[in-house]
Amino acid sequence: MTQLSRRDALKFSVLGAAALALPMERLVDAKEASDRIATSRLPRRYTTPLAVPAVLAPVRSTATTDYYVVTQQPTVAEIIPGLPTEMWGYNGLVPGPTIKTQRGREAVVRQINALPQRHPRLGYEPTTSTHLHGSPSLPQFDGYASDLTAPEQFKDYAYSNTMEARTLWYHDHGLHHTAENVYMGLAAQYHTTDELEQSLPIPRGEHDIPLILGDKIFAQDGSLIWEDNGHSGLWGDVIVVNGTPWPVLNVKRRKYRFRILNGSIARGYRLALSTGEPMTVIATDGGLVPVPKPVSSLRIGMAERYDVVIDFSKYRPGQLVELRNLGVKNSIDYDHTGKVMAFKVTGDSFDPSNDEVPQELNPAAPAMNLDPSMASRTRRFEFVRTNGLWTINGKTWENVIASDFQEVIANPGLDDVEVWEFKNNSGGWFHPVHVHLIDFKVLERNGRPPRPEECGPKDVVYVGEGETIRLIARFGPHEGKYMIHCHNLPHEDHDMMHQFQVGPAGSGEDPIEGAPAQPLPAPPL
Amino acid sequence: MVTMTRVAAGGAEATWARWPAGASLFLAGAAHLYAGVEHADHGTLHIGFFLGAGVVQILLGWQLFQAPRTWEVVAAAAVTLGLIATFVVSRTTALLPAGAGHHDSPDPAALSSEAVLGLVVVSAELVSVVALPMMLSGRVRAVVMNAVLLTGVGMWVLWLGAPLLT
Repeated sequence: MTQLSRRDALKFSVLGAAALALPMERLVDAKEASDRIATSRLPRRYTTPLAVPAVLAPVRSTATTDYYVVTQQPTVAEIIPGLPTEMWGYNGLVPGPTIKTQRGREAVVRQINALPQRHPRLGYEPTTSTHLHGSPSLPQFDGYASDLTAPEQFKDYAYSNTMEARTLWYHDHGLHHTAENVYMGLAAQYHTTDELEQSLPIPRGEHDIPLILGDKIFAQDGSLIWEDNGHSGLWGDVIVVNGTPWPVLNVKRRKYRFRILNGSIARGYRLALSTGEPMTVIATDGGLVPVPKPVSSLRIGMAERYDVVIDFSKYRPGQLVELRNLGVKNSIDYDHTGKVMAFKVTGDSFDPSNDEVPQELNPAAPAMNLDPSMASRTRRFEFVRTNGLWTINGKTWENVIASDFQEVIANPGLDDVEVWEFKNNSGGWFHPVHVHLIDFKVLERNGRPPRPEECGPKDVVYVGEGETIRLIARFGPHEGKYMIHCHNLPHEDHDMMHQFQVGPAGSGEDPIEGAPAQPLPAPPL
Repeated sequence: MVTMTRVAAGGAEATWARWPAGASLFLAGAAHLYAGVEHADHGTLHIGFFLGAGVVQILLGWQLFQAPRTWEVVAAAAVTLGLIATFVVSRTTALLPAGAGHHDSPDPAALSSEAVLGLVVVSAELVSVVALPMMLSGRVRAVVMNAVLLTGVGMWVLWLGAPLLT
């Protein structure tokens, strides 16, 4: 009989040790790194109904203006069954209530900071600044990072709502703590509609549903864990949609419009249906696209919005259609981050009106009709990590502060058309870059056409690993200082953010002094 | 030299070793089939890999029970070493599609079911790696044993060098 020699035993031990010890080492490392909750205590996928955020009613309306009051306050949610999770919500809701407005009607939103004096775990003072993302707001109402509202203060934000119909979102933009504040729950959608959108037979009402994607890490006691990996990003192992982990939505056999917002701190998604059927993109960040675009998958970086129509008429009652995340480079995936939510098709009767996607939606979208021949100049921006700081052309928001908020990285004239080029040389991370005030058209991605879903006006562009993006925009309608930054929020906070000036130096309202926060108590709106 | 000789007829080889070798391959194959079902939402590449590995291991395990030919034993050893290497590389580096991005959900109470399944499979495969060379003799056995050593060394080298690669 062939015996096992000592030499054989040595050879086996080299292999055996590698096969067992190396994978175990990673597991042990991961477990020692945090007090994360056990996977077995998380809700089962696709068992909890999707929650649709409430619509906020104005406290008062005049012939031209609707007035809203939003209070930023602590709240306790039960996201993990049986465990309390302390969060911060607009009006105590996570996500916050949706504000629905009509193009041309002004909205005044009073933001009251009723947050505690200190973050419960991280200990910083939660000064906030509220940005209406997607709105060409005046500088003093744009959520300028250093225009802060401290606890026990309030600020009235005035929005003219002059833009085309679109899905916007309001979220915190406070200096150096945007990531933590948004992670705690300070985010919500804001919809503006207009006559064009109302004239289209696209799904609306109960068939028009906001989906705010996020990812969280929970501790064993249900509290949120903050772990931003040295300011690189936070990637949670629990996917939430409208605050619910891996929810399910009952749908009828017709078309639905989903307003998808990536509200994650640092996770990108590539969304696809489990059936392999396409979703039809009908709107991007800046509103309706000229022509609807069916896509088999959809890449969505942080802060990007894509409104898609999914047609459930082709599925049988009882069928479960999953919305999956195929993942993107440099977002850390866990066992169940490939799942987002599910749709359960029912045989219920439904209203057959507004069940179409017309061939043409908004061919006159202003940004989409810009052409490089109209541009007065091209500017280049490099998004680089230098000495542990995230920078734009080597500059950070600290440079802006040090210059007493005078330093700008670009200075287009009012109504100038310019081509901006964003470059990310790294292979280790991507940057969803947000330019405030404007809508733009993506022209090229590394010299090639943009992705199919980038077929409409945008205000965030996914600058992938090793990519150079060219885009074109008209700078207006306001003069003043506006921010440009990465929407990976730890990148933004540390400190990949700068500003540009539209119009001559010093023109436009001062973003900090123009309408500063006031101490409570607030007078009636 | 690899011949068509049946191992059971070889005389010097440990024919009893076919039982643990075959049983462990059966177990690993069944676990791979289960993993294929569990990875149903990970795309055809993953499903295909797990189902393919499972079927091959079960077929090889069955052959080992049947007084296998030498080449079948060598094939079983090669497949098993390859699968062990794939497991380790996928769990410790970003070199494969399911690489560093595939994190087990950290579970302070216990290992996740995926981690347990992975360790069960690789343990079974290690049993077969120990048993299979006992069914061989001479130069063929020496070649297989050297392959065992090289696979082990390769994994350690890759693990030590992986931070430079990722």
